[in-house]
Amino acid sequence: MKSLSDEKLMEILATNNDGQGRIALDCLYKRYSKPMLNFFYFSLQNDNEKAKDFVHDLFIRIIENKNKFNTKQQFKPWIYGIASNMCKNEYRSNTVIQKFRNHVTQSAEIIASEKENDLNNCICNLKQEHRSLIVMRFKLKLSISEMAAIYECPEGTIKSRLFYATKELSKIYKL
Amino acid sequence: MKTGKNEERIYELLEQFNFRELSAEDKRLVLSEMSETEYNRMRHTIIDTECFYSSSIGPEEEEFSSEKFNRKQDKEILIIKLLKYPVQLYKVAATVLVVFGIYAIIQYSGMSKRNNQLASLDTVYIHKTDTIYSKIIDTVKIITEKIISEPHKPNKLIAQNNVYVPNKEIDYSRELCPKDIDMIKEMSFNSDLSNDSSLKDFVVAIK
Repeated sequence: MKSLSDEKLMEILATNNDGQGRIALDCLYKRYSKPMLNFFYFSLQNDNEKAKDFVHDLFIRIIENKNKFNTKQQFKPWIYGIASNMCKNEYRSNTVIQKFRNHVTQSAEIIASEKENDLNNCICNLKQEHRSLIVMRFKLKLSISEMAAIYECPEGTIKSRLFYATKELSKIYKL
Repeated sequence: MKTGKNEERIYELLEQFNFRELSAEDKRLVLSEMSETEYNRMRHTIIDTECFYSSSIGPEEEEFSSEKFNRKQDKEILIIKLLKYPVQLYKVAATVLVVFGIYAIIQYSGMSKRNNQLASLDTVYIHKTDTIYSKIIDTVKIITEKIISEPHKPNKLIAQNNVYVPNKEIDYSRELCPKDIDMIKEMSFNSDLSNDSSLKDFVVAIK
């Protein structure tokens, strides 16, 4: 089972509700829980508990939508796409917007202060979309083509978005 | 070349080369969009970000096991299954009625049980008090009753000797005269007066 591709495992999960399906899910979990935890952790302003909850929710969504997955498409972009949408939804929710607003008002002072060289703080102050792109590219080391598949857009668009994300980051991150 | 295309190309260059390492054509392309300083700053930002993420400590992963997730999702799947299970409305209503009926019965039986218990507790308390109290009273009663209820037995000898019945009535309101003395002499005593120490002298004196 461990040698099977992600897509094959998803097929087994979709067709079997018994032990085989459970083993397939376990394999997928072992493959993706760690990178997903990192993705959520760095995308959600280093909130460890929230990142763990999001990983659990993500796999529950996978189980719920196992029949919606097209086995002809790749699994990796699909799971990252779900994860990215979860981050967007969280960002849109009122609490996060409020938190971000507070963060932005403080950010000018923070950046001007002794913490201005803290890259982590600078990344946290980025827009959610830019932050996710940077995490995917530099932490999870996804290729441009993989990111294009996740965001369902051309590779050029990803490069352009990364360019602007880097530009924004370099403005607030003083070397 | 369009601006969008330039950005894409510049990003590719930013990831791979420093400004000095760029070809003349690439330098022209970069300088058409930004200054050399700006390019270098972005280049350093990318390098620092890569370093930061490679050296940064991620979230605590040791507690994050698949078993924990399986336990959680088992519960959630069960709840989802139960919620999605199709049930007709009248069945739900009947179930609710049955549940409430059972609850009411349990409540009623519980209350009566509680009442019974209270009654038994009261009985026990009274019983204890009575036992202690009656013991003391009984002891006193037994002693007094024995004394009071003892039957009176008169001494037969004393009664026979001392009780007499006069044949004639004597009028004691007047003074004694010789007739009276004679009458006393004639009086018959059932007992022997010689035995009575107090009357002995009196009778002798009369005689």
